[in-house]
Parts: sequence; C-alpha cells; structure tokens
Amino acid sequence: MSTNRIPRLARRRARALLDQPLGGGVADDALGRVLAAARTTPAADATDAELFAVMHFRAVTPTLRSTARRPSMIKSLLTKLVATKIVAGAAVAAAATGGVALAAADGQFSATTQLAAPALSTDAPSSGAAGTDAPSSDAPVSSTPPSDDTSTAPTDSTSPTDSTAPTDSASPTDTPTGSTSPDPSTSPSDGPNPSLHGLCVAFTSGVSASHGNALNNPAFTVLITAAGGLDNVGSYCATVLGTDDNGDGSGKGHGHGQGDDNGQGNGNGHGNGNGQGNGNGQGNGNGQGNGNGNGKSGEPGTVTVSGGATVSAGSSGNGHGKGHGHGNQGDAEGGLSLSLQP
Amino acid sequence: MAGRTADDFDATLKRMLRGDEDAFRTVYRALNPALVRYLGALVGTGDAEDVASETWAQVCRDLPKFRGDGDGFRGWVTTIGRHRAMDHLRALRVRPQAAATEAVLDQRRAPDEADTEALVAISTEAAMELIRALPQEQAEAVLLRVVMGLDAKSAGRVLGKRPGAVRTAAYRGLQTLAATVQPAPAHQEIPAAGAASDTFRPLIAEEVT
Repeated sequence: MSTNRIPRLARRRARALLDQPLGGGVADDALGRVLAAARTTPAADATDAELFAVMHFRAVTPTLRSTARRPSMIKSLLTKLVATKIVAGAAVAAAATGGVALAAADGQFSATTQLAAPALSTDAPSSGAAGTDAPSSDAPVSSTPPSDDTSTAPTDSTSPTDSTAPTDSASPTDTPTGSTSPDPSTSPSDGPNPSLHGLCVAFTSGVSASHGNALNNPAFTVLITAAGGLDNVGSYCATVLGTDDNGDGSGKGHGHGQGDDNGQGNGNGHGNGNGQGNGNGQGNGNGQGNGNGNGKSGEPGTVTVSGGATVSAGSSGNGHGKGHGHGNQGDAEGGLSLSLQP
Repeated sequence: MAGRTADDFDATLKRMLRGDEDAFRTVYRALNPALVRYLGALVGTGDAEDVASETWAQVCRDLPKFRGDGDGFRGWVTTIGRHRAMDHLRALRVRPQAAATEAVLDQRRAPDEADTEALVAISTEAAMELIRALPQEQAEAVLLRVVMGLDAKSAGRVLGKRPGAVRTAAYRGLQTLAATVQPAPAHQEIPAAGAASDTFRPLIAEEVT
C-alpha cells in the first residue's frame, strides 16, 4: 500500500493513544478500537497457571515477611544494645547500692541470681542513661519480681519518657517510691548477655574476617567494651560462646535496712558475687551501697534500688539507693555474667 | 487492571511484597493477561502460557530483591518475561520445532482473517495480530506501551533502548496500524499479516540469534 492516502497520524493523538491507562480508552476510531482491544483485560478466574504462580509465591513468602520486618529487627537490635548499656550501668549501680549481688547465670538477671562478674567499674564506658557515676537513686525499680503489669519486653516501653529506650520501667503502681525520676529504668530481666552473645556470634562468624572494619561499627562498641578492649574480643567471645550454656553463678547478698514508723528507712547493703563457669573463669565482685527509702511503718518492705536489682533483705520501706560500685575483675571467664567486664 | 488506579496497584504491590498472598493474586490477575498476550506475540500464543508461568516462577523467586512501585514492577515482570521468551525461542531452535510451529500457526491464522472486516468489535486476538504484523521494532514498542502499559522509559529499559527510540518506534507503529485499519479508500486487507511466511516469525528472532 502506498502511504500517501493514509491520514496522517498526529503525534499528539499517537501519544494520547499510547498513554491511555490500561483498560480505559476512547476507542472512537478504528485505530483506537484496535488498541483498546489489545489492552483489554478479561476477567480472570483462578486458573491452574495462577495456582502455579501462587505456589511459587508461597515459597518465597517467608523471605518476604522477614524482609519486611528487617527494619524493625535492626531497630530491636539497637534497642537491645541500648538495653545492654543501661543494664550494665544499672547493674553496677545496683550492686553498689543496695547490697545487691546479681548473677546472670542463665542470661537473665533475676531476683535470685547473682552477678558473677564483678568487674563493675564506675569507669565503664557503658554507662548509659543509668550511668554508674550518676546518682542512680532516681531510677527506682521495684524489688518485687516483675508482675504482670511490669513490662519485660524491651520494646514495650511503659515509660512515658523515652519510647525508644528499653525502659521497661516497673509500673508506677508497683513502685511505691513513686518513680521520682524520668530516667529510663531498666529491666532486670533483659540482661546484656543475649546481645553480647549475638555480637560474638556475629564477630566470630565471618565478621571477624573483616573485623578491622567491622569492629568500627558502633554495634560492636558494647562488645569491645565488654571484652575490655579490641584485642580481647576474640578470646572474650570464645569464652562467651564456649561457655554459653555452662556458666554457673553464685553469689551472696546482704542487705540491711531499717525503717521507722514514720516511713523512713535506711538500708545498707553489701554484695559479693562469684561466678564460675566451665570456661575456667572466676569472677569476684563487691558492691557497696546505701539505700534509704520510705516505707510503711512496721511492715517489712522491700527496698528499691536503682537498676532493678533485688535486695535480699530490706527490712522495711521502699526507697532509693545510691552508691558506687567498684569491682576488680579477676580471671573473669565462665558464665554469661562475664559480660559486664569493664 | 481496568478501573484500578495506579495508587491502588502500588498499595497492593506493597502488601504483596510483604508476603500477602491475596495481594499477589490481585497483582497476578492484573498483569498476567497482558503478559500472556505480550509473550504470545513473542513466542506464539500456544507457548505463551508456559512462558508466562516460567516468568512468574522467576518473578516470585526474585521478589525479595525487587524494589520499586507498580510501574517498576510491571517493567520488571516484562523484562523477565522477555528473557524467558528468548530462552524459549533458543530452546525451540535447538530441537525440532515443526509440530509446535504448526500448532501456533493454526491458532494464529484464523482470527485476523475473520475479524478484519468487523473492526467495530475487533477481538483482542485480531488486534494482537495486527500489532504483531508490524515491523519488529515497532511491534514490540507498541506491545510494551499498549499491552503491557509501560511508559516509554520503562519500555526502553525492557528493550535496552533509550526512551526516545521507543517513542519513535511506537509512533511509527501506530502510523502503520492506522494506515492498516483506517477505512481508507479501497482495501481492507491486512497486508502484513497475509504477507507473513508460513512459519511463525518470532518478533525477537534477531536478538535470539
């Protein structure tokens, strides 16, 4: 056919035809109808081909879901790291304050375990919001075991002050001393060990291949701090990972408290902790502290100390504890409790 | 995709990328008919469904790697489909293909002759046949722009060409189409389709070689 009798197609018209949304279209001439027919989408029923495709989609669904979660996973890792710092700082304060000895034999700080790693230095750079040097008395945590309304999830903050920090503060109603501080208090149940463990896993599995750079990652600061230096990370992680499940912790805690009928109380505490693990480690810790508080007259109460450590014996009252802890690290190896080395 | 806005599609796509199976079905149903049609132009309608299935399988496999919106996804799927079509044509080249080609020819010869007179209600198959009859470059540009709904930029990415080249090819394709179907004086014949040889002519044969 020759082109001279063909109506010239205007560029604008062509563009309009090409840019028509799928399924729509003004088909008022032959060309428009052809294009509209070409882009018609028939109503589709579930076909075998679709089921086949869905099958393939299902295979990848777990990956998609985990991928979609990845940002929040990073966030939660950061949260854990913050928790690590805070717990480390708070544990120091706690050990120092109320005559508390903590151990984290099972990776959890609890009211009954005691800190085997004694190397609690006030100089620890890990001092976070509840820094060891700071008067930590203003971060009261009820010494009673976490109750139902005490959030234990780091991300489930009940603190009004900082929604991103793993504040996990005890419910105000559980803290008769009344949460005098906006400081994020820490959860005794979210110890640093899981994070450090994870960091060690990351360090030893491939990250270490490029650890020159990797350890510059802020995420490893906690690990380096815990290990006591860059050079110690390797051996430290070997210990942590190797003794992961075998750590023993033991400790002793003494607390003394006095209260009078006016609802004033004073508490003194000393804490010792020993940790032993199958990884050939021992640790000793000492803590000293003073606590004072308010309590109901005559009733044996609990002493609240900063950092969420349980005071083994507080005769009366709930109160604040202040203090500093000093620790010397022996051959600190062994249990998970070693994660608090300075 | 009729009646579905781009925003709807984007939202559905997001849900799909989070692992929502219903969203995947929606996306599949929105795209697959066009994909099959496009692939049919490349490999023949008889094999289009199979190639489309292979395409979706790979799309799913690579889905975690995909980043982009609805338009990007459409282009991405199209690119994968085109690659699978080329693989398919290469495989056909290796093995004897007479039977397959005959089947394709049987399917594709009927509609255009039957429908060209009745442009008022032109069938999709006939429209596709007309587009397929265009010179390869124009045909694929029109297919990507019209059938797959890609913009010139996305279509250029699929073809490895600059958007301007796609625009020009699509424009020329439409001109040719218009010349074919406009009720110009005289014949209503579809010369290009009729002139096609007895063997299926893959649009992308040159690239397969």
